[in-house]
Formats: sequence, C-alpha cells, structure tokens
Amino acid sequence: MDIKKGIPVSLGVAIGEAFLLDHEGYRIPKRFISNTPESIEREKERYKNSVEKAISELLEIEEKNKSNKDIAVLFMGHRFIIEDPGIQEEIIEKIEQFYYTAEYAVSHIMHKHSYTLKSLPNDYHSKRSIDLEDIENRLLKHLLGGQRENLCNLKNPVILVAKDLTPSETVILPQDRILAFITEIGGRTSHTAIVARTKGIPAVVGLNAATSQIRTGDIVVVDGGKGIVIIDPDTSTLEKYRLQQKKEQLRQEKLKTILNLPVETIDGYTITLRANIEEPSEVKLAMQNGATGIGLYRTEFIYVNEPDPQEENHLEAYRTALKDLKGNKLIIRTLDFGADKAFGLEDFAGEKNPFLGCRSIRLCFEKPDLFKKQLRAILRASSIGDVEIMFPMISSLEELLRAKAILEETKQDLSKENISYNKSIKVGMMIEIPSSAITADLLVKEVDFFSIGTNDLIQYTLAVDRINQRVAPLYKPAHPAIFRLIKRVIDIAKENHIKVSMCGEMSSESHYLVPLMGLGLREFSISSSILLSAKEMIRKITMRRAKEIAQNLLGCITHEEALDYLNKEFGSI
Amino acid sequence: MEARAKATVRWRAGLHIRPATCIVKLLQKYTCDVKLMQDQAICNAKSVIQIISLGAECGTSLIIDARGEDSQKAVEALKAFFDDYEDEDALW
Repeated sequence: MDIKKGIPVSLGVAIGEAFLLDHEGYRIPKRFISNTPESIEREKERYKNSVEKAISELLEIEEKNKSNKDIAVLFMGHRFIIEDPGIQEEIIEKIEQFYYTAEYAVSHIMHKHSYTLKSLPNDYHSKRSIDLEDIENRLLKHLLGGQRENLCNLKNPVILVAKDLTPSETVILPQDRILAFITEIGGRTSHTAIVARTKGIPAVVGLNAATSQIRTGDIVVVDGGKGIVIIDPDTSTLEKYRLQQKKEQLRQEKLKTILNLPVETIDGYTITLRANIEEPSEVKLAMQNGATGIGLYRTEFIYVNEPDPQEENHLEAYRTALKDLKGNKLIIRTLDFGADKAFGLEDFAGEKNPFLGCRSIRLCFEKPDLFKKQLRAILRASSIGDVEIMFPMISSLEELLRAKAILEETKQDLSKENISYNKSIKVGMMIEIPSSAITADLLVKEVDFFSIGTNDLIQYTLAVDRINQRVAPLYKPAHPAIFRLIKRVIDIAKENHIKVSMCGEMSSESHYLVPLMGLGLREFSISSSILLSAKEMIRKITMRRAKEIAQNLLGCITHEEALDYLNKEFGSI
Repeated sequence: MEARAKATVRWRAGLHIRPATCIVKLLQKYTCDVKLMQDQAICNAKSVIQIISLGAECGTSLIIDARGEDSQKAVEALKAFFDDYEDEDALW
C-alpha cells in the first residue's frame, strides 16, 4: 500500500484499476506482486500477452521491410530474442520465485543481457546493447498499457493516469468508462480539473511521478475531495473507502430531494444558478441538475472536431444546445483559445509568454473571417432561442468597441441576406483582466452584462501561472486584491443597472459562494456536478449573514487571514 | 548421431545480431541440438542472444557441434553459411 497526496480538484471517491496513458520516459520501479498463486499466474499471463503483442508487431515490421533485408533481419533478430526460451524462462523465474512484477522482471533480465554485451571487448558488439533496450521498450510498452489511440477501445471502467491531458485528448476519452483522473501536472483550474468537475468525475492532479509509480492494472483509490491517491490499498483501507463511497451516494440522493425547490436564501433572496458547458451534449446533465440555463458555453470545443469550423458547424452545435435548453438562456462565449488550450492551431507555436500573447479576442481580431463565422452562427441561433453573446479577454474600451463593431457589421450582412436574427441580442463581456475590472466604470456603458471570470482574473492580477506547480500556491482566490476587484465590478454594474454574474471556478466553492452573494452577486454559472450542493448551501443561509461574512472577509488584510476566517466560518476548506 | 565441424568468422563486424539471426533461422529446420564453441565458451546456436553474447570477432575460429538425428545435415548447412554468407546480405 502506497499513499500519495496531490491537489484535490474534483470531488468523489473512486476505486478501480489504473490505466496508464504515458509510457514514454517511464522508469520501472522495483516492484513486487503478492506471493499468491493467483497473482503469480496473473503476472505471467501479462508477460505472455506482451510477448504475443510484441511478436505480431515485429512480424508486421518484417513483412513491411521484405525488400530491405538488412532491416527485416534485424527485426527478425529482435523477435528471436523475445521468443528465446532461455530468456522467457529467466523472466518467468523472476516472477515465480522472486515475485517481480512483469515489468520489473523484463527490465531486469534485459538489463542483465545488455550488461553482458556492453562488457564485451569488441566495440561493435558492445554497441548492440541498443537492440536489447529496444526490445525491452517494446515489451514494456505493451505491459504498461499501450498507446493513447487504444483508449477509445477501453472495455472496463478505469482510473486514468497521465502526465497531463490536453483538451483534445479529454474530448476523445470514453467518459462513461473513466472512474477518476490522476495527472502529474495541473492545478485546480487546469483543463483536466474543469472537465472532471463538469462531468462529476473524481480527480487528483499535481501528483508527482504518478506515471512512474502507478502501473496499468494496479488497484487504486482516488479521493478527489482530499487529493489522496492510494496505490494497492489493503483490505481495511478498501473497506473504509467503499463505505465513504456509499455515504457519498446517499448524499447525492438526498440532494436530489431539493431538485425542484427554489434556489433562495432563508430570507427569500432568489439566486440564479446556471451551468458551464463545453459541449452541447452536456446541457441535458445541467438541466437534470436544476440549472436554469447555460451561463458559459465554452465554444472552443467546436474547434476540436473541426479545426476550421464553418458557420454551419457552429450553428449545429448551438441548435443542439438550444433544443435541450427548452427556452432557457444560453450565453455563448466567443472563441477563447489560449495557449493553454491550444488544439494545434498553427499560430501558438513559439510564443514565449502565451498567457500574455495572441489569444482569445486578440486572435479573433487577427482573423476576422474566423470570428465572423462564429458571430453569424450565434446571431442565427438567436432567432431560435434565448441566446446572448459574450466577448472574452477584453482589456480596454477600444477592444470592446472593435468587437461590437464587427458584430454590427455581421448583423448588417445578415439583414442584407434576409437572414433572421434577434436584433436586440444582449451583448456582454468577461471581466477577467485587471484592466477591465479597474475600468469597469467605462466599459459598463457599452454592454448589457458583465460576467466575472475568476480563473484568469486571479492569474493576471496575482501574476501567477496557474499551471506552473512551483508558483501554484501563490494562486490565491482569497487574496484581498481579488475581493476588492470583484466588489468594484459588482458595485459598478449595480449602479448602472446592468446584470453581473460570475462564471469562474471560484463560485464553485461554497466558502466563496456565500461571501460573493454577500458582495451582491445574484447569478452564478458553475459545473453541473455541483449545482445541487450550491443550491443546498444557498438554501441554508440568510442574505444578512452572507453580507456579514462578505464584510468580515473584506476586512481581512492577508490571504492567510481570509482563509483562516473562511475556515472558521465553513469548516475545513 | 553426432557431427562436428570447424568454422571461421569472416565478417568484419564479427558474429553480431544479423548473422546470428540468420543462423537461428537456418537451424529452425533441424531438430538436433547445435552448439557453437569458442575457446572456453559454449553457446546454443539456436539462440540469438547466446550467439551474440559470445562476442566472436572477425577471424575467430569456432567449433560447430551438433547432436541429434539430422546433425550431419545441420552441420553441413551451418558450415556452408559460415563460408558463403556475405554480411549485409541476408538469408531468405
């Protein structure tokens, strides 16, 4: 049993078999299996399977290189070595008599032979140890779970272990077969974390060396609420977590009982809870959890399936979302590609400082055709449902006016073509760059609503790259600067009678949700999976109390003081 | 049945993985046990890893030793291989 601690990013307990996504750059730790006949048999079987797969792979290579005999013979040699009864016996002996894992047995024996070759006096011979390394890698590749593309063929539910997952990878994952995520890189607001929370899949990120310490087939416990990962748990630990899982299930069932109750405080203040989505197919889950619309549709995913999506691709996605929304609001955010979410669009290469680079609305200005295709589709969708449009990453009034001018042009184009759209479509902007929070009083005259995006706002205000683990602890939502900026934006919106909401991760946590309500926020957009627990929290508190908490929090002069206070108020954070 | 013959490694790079692979491939047709002996060292001529671990360099003399029904034929074929095989020219 091995207990590891990472960053907790998505609630829930999962117990299951690990599936390792990365096999490049692995190190094989000295690991043992238990000395029962079953586990020995299982390990031998794993070894034999890897041998079979390696052999058929090599036969294919030989066949393909028939015309180049040098290459074909070399790989035939590799195959003969893998098939070598002597070597097979040695490896099996390590498993049977010394309880080595198949990986470790293969690695150990191949290293041994490699060492023999290396110590030969003849230079040519000693260099041949490279062949043995190649053979070792081939076997390990099969033992460690194979390539990424095989992922779609997963039959049984697994706990996915990877260095990191790119957005496009998370998209192709068969999510119904993922029990939990474990990654080495990332923080609370990294992409994997967001996707995990959206889907309600437990996740722990920032777990150093996860891919070298966990191997495919290991039984693993993931506690996504505490950030704990237990490899090869003992019986009593397993029992403990099974119990916790059951409790969590009961809690979820209990939460279902408030599904149809209004989202209001004890003293009668109504709060609007909407959901964040990445794909239209998620609308259903959002509605099932009581969302009254979508407060943030991250449209970047349209670009995953179709690198250069046309107007029709966009429209198709928006239509699907609207169909399931049944008249509820859909706030579509225009393209917000950042380097952290690059899907292989050519233009991100070489940016030294991508978070301060050409992303999001800046990219749209650079590529007006790409921007207009999306705007046309959003406008067309506005004639079939309650659609609002939201511009991301606005840093100045000029940018806002420029985006609005392009929207106006697009509207006129549609009018000329006699295509219908909602002429008074509401236009809002994200407040996620400090300059826009500071100049909110200037921007407010030009929009129908503000939506505060806390992830970027915190990152830019505190100058912390949220993915860089060395500075991740400096990413502090409770920093006094953040509350002051948020308060300013809310106050200005209220004075000017425009709507203000929050769609950042910050509002996903109840200890922030309450003080944010106290600051005056009445609309939130959060992950579907926590809609009900947010509702439960709201229904348990009075607005008077929320205001008191907000006031007290504004009085805290350091992040630590603020956290201590929230801890006292809400229990452990 | 037993058979023996002397052979010399003529390949510049020695008895490395490619000729070793050809030897194993060639001997797959025969049921007899075949050993290669070099001074004190002895190896199974049907195992690539054992052959290359001999580290036999160019000019090395080896003794081919076969035991089993078709040992005579196996030794003859192997001897011919040592005499005729040009490295970089595989046996198919």
